[in-house]
Amino acid sequence: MDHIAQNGFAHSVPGRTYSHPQTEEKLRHLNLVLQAMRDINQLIIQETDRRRLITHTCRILVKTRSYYNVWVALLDGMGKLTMAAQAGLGKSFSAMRRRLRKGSLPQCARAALRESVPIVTADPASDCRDCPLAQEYGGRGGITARLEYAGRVYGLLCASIPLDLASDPEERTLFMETAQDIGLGLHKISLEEERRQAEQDVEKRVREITCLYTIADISERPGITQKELCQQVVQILPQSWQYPDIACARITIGGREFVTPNYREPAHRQSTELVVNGEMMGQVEVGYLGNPPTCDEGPFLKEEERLIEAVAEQLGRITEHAIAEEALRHSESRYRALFQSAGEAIFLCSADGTIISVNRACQALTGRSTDRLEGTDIRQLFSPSERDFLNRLITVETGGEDSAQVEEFRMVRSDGAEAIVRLTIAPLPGTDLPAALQVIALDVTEERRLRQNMQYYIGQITRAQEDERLRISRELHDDTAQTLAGLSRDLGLVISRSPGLPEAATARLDDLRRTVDAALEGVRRFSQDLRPSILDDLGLLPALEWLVSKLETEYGIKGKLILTGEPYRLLPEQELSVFRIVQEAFSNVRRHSGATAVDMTIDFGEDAVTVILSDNGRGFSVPSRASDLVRSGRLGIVGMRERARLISGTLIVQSDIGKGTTVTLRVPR
Amino acid sequence: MNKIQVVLADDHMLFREGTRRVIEQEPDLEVTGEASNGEEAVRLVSQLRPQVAILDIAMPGVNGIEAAREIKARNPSTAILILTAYDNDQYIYAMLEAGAAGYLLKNVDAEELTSAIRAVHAGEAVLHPAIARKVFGHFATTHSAAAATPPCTLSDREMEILKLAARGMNNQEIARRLFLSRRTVQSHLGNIFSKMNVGSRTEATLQAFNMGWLSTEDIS
Repeated sequence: MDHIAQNGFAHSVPGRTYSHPQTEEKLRHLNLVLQAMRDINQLIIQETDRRRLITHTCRILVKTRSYYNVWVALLDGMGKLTMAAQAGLGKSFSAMRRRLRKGSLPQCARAALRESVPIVTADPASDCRDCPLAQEYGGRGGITARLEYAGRVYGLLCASIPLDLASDPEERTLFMETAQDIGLGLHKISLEEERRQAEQDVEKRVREITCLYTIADISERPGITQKELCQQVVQILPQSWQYPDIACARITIGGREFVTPNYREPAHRQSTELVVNGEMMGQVEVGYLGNPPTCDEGPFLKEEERLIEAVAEQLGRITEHAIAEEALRHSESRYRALFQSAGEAIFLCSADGTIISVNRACQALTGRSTDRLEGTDIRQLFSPSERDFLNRLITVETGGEDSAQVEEFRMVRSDGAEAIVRLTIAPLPGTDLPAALQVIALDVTEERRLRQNMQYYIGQITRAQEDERLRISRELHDDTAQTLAGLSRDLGLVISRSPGLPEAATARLDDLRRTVDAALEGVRRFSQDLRPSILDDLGLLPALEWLVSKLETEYGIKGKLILTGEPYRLLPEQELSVFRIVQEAFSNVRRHSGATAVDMTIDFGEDAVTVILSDNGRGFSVPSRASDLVRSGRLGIVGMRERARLISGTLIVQSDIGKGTTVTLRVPR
Repeated sequence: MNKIQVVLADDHMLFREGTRRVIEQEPDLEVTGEASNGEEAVRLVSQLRPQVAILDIAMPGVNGIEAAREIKARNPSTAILILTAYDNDQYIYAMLEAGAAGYLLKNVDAEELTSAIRAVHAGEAVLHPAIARKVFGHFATTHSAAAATPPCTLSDREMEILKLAARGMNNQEIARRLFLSRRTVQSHLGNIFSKMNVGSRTEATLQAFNMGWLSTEDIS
């Protein structure tokens, strides 16, 4: 028979009338089934509860008497029953339910699960031996299909129908479609459930994030204290929990306690440690005052455990940060105080020389106020001739903290006066600071002037000393020596011109003469030591030779003189100074060294005369600073250096204990 | 008899006067000029051409040694005696290099002074032999790089006499050695001095030495 199903209804083909009762019966049945399907579709659209869905489905299917009885079983992945519904079976279904619960499926069910098409059982009463419902079929057939949608199997649909219908392919197709529709409905419900679950999860996550974000927000409010932070955070905690109305919270940190107004000993509590810089400082606690609605996981969700830990961690971090900031502020303010109060002027500059920050002393030094200094180029403070060199110092890549450079420059103050300033330029560590250079300026003008004055005075004193010596020496020579010489000669004359003198008298006169000669000798020697005329009469070289020979004759120290180059004359002042320096050096050799031999090398070079004296004495440890020399009583060396400096020369003293001493004097022409 | 003419140079007036008196006491000596500084000394010697000039070293402006050099350049035959307070080697070398015949210490007595004047005029040595040797020794080391040896202008006899003189013999001893009279020796020396353009034995020996006519062996 053909008939076309359109819009769920079977329409009779126009022009053909069937009056076969069997056909009419079948047609009517199909109509009922389609109607049932339509009803089921409606159900599917609306129903959100599984149990209701399958229960109503069964009822619909049976109601229209399209099927005698129907049962639906929802199975989990293991094949175990999760839910079942039936219609038309009544209490006799309980046996099936029990069996299904155990996971034991009847034969038809097993077969149906394997197939995507319905399984028909012609005579369940005899074929389905193990089915508790076998007897319920009462001569009718059974048809079972699996509930399936989008590749997922949800369970089974089993119905009892007239046998002849059971074998009808259309019947089976319809049944299958019914099963699929139910499958779809179940699928829809599943999706909905999943969606809702996801929504809830998102909500929970949003609550978590909001909570943490709010805490961060609070902590960033300017000027907020830790106390205020904790007070505010503790208030917002309950909102982020599942049941905010019965939730309370408490934060303890560093001995202080912050609670929500409703706080009291909670019935259920969740807490975690608050750790700051590795040390336990307190705890964060959230509790439910009453009993929350039961939940599988306990009163608190896993997410809430995570959240409370996240909150504690966040508070811990914020506290650490605050502590670090405080320490930094403290050290910064200490630095600031130091910076400002430093006696030396300190300029902090960027890498290109722009002044970023100055301390008080800078104003005093430069005569300019902070405003006029900051933002200007530090090079502007110095006289134009210095800027080049200063440039190089500033722009050269200095490496490391130890590479500070020290140089003296002439600074021009705001009133036009010049100051000599010693600059120490060092790079500042840390590349993200605006200041890259630290320039410390020390006003050494006074020091320099004092030093210059001192040198000037030394020069004056030395000259005066020499003049004095010369004067005394001359007087001794001209006056005293001459007188004595004359006396000696006159005495001689007396002796020679007085032949009649008694012997005693002659002898006495002779004695007197010898005494006078001795005195003369003494005066001569003294005068020579004061100011050797050999230097003035014959020049430096003979004078030095004389010193060497004197060292030998008077003190037994062997001297050797080596001459290189063509001798020439220096200025009288220079020759005198060289002589004095060598004189002093020899005096040191005599007094301190215990040497037995001295070598003197004199080189008349193109640009300078170099005199090198070295002895084989016991040597001494040469202090590197002039002040140490003075302290150790070695004024002689200081004097020698000064004399050398006065004639634009240089003096180097090298010595080591046990290795003798070498003095090198170099005087430019 | 011609007196030996002497020019005195000393910046010390009193001393100069004293010296002059001492010299003038002697009948055979006379002071023809007095200078108080080196420049004046040079001028006077040029003017008066004395046989002997007595110079102090320490004089203002041009000192005695420089004056000696100048005088020797202009009046080589004038013998120079340096009157000095210092007898250290450096002075002696410098003096002799400048052309002095000898030196006297300031506290020398009248007799020594006058006999020295006579001696130098007679061509005798006024330098103690030991000192002379030391001087020659010194000059040997400092003037070793002599260029070409100029040909010896002295006769053999003259050379002989010079050698003996260099050895420290006085005129009498030389005369005896060479079987000559003292006067002859003196006269020979005068010739030697003229040929060599010097005024004293010291100069002659020194120059001969410098020119390579005499060697250290000759004087040992």
